[in-house]
Amino acid sequence: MNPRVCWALVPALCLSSMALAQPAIPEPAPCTDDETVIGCFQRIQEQAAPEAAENQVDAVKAEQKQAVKQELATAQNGADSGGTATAATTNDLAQLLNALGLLSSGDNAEGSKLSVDLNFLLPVQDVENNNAQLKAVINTEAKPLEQLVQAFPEDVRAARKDAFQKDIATFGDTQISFTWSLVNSRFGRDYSVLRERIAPMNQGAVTRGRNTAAQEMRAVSDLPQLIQRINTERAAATPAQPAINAATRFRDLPISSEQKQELKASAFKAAAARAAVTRSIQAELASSGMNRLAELVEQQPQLLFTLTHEIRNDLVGPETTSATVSWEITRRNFGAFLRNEGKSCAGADVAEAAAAYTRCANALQSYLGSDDNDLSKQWRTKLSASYKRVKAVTYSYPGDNVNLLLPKHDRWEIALAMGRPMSQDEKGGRVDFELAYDSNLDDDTTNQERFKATLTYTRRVGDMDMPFSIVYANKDEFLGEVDHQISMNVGLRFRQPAK
Amino acid sequence: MSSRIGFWSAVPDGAKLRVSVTGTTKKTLVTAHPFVLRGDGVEQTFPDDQIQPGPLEIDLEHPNTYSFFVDLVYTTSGKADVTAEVVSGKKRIPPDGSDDTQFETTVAGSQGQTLGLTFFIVTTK
Repeated sequence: MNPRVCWALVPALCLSSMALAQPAIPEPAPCTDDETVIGCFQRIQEQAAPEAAENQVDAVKAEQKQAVKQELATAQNGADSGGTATAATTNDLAQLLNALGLLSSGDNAEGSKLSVDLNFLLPVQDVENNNAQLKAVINTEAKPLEQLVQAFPEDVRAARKDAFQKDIATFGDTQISFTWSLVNSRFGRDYSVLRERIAPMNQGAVTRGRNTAAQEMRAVSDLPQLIQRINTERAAATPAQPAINAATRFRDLPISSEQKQELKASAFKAAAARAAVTRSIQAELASSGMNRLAELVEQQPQLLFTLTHEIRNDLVGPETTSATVSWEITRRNFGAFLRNEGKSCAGADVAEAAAAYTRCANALQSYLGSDDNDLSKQWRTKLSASYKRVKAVTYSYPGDNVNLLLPKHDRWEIALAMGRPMSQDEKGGRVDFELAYDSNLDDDTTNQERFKATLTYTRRVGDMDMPFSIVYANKDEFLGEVDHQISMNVGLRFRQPAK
Repeated sequence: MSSRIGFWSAVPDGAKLRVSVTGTTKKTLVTAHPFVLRGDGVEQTFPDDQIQPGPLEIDLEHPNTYSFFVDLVYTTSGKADVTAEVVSGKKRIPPDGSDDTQFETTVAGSQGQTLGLTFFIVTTK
């Protein structure tokens, strides 16, 4: 039976039908002589609606914090070079930074990269909210620029490379990046912003739940009225007597046995009625879909801005500065719902649990779908555009007859990616597609354009994700590391990427 | 296990009940929905933004009794801190069974859950 339909008809019948639909809750035991009014009431509330374990709540918070860090981390473009000369120094540095709590936990496992959290330099509120992230990524294995090494005659190349390697400073290849996420009612997942939209919807569900249990609501208020009556009778008999205390055991209350029995029964009835009100609200939250609003918020679009500057020793390569915008969107999300199907949820009258609330609840149920995992299975699209400026650098070694000039150049990098899980089962695999365009190549003065398309199917085997990709590039040198090259422009990649 | 009931069984006429809730952050949302039912049958609902952060203030008049409900809705998993106090003039009246002048509790809930708190007030002349 639909609780909202029967609410208008037979409240008592509705409550019993909802109770049938919920997990069976054992009938509470009556109040005992050794209990107090407060103790008996508390016991019955806990039995009817147990509190969440605090460690579970803390675990969820930690997961949320980590998820935000990951999102911000993936929005950044990383430097990509290697070397070993400074590894020992930076290992010591890593231990020091870790001891100071500055080692970023989001991506410090990236092998040669050491990520340092610099959020302490940002305004406190931004750091707490994780809307902004400032960090440094130090390449612990910076290597001399290959183009420079190759410019030397073969007989001195190895010696020069070794010499350059020793000249690269500890921070010779460091990236500073600042990422900021737009947060408003349309973008981001900030509940302090979304609260004013969600609270009236919740209020509608609570009011509807209370209306369904109107008789129980009134039954709760019988308890203080009984205590007031007993107090009044006692005061009439002996004016100096203090009021009875709800924290005194029933057996110790200075009232007659009949009054004790009456008070115990009233406390039990009030507690059971209050528990029924809570259950009625819980049933309404479930039937309306209001208990799943967080799932919609999790699908909110994200707009991230990243500024990155790579501070490099000239021997490693030219310094670069880039600005990136990335936009991630899903078709169904909380903002889209309120603007379209759920317009009735956006008005203030939704809180009154009347017609607007009914329309809102119906729209929400339909939007969420019957499958609990519908939302997480939808396609997620990400579009990112990055503008990069690469500084000019000149290498002059007259003794070896080397004079290499890398001119200043600007690049655009644009990527469109789409992905979704294939099923709700974690091991069901997921499919991802990425189309990337690069207006130039790193350290390449010929200004060649690069197109690359990658289709990846990832399946979880045991604890590992096994990707299988088909890669297309407009020139074979852009295919990257593939396990099998089918033609000039197409390759297959199926091995687990090296960590 | 946190307390979900507060009882004041001897509150002088003209006192005030003040209730505050905090549970919403950037990443967690707990909305609070207060409702007061007076002994004479008068009832009133208040919106979330009046109690969070609050305080929401209710005048307490003899010979009425008051049943004050706060239903918390956990849109996400989280914790809500709830405080309640009864003030008569400059004097704070402790709840039954407590030496503290204020009722304080932290209630943890899981995503989609609702939990209810109840405050009872019995007035005296």
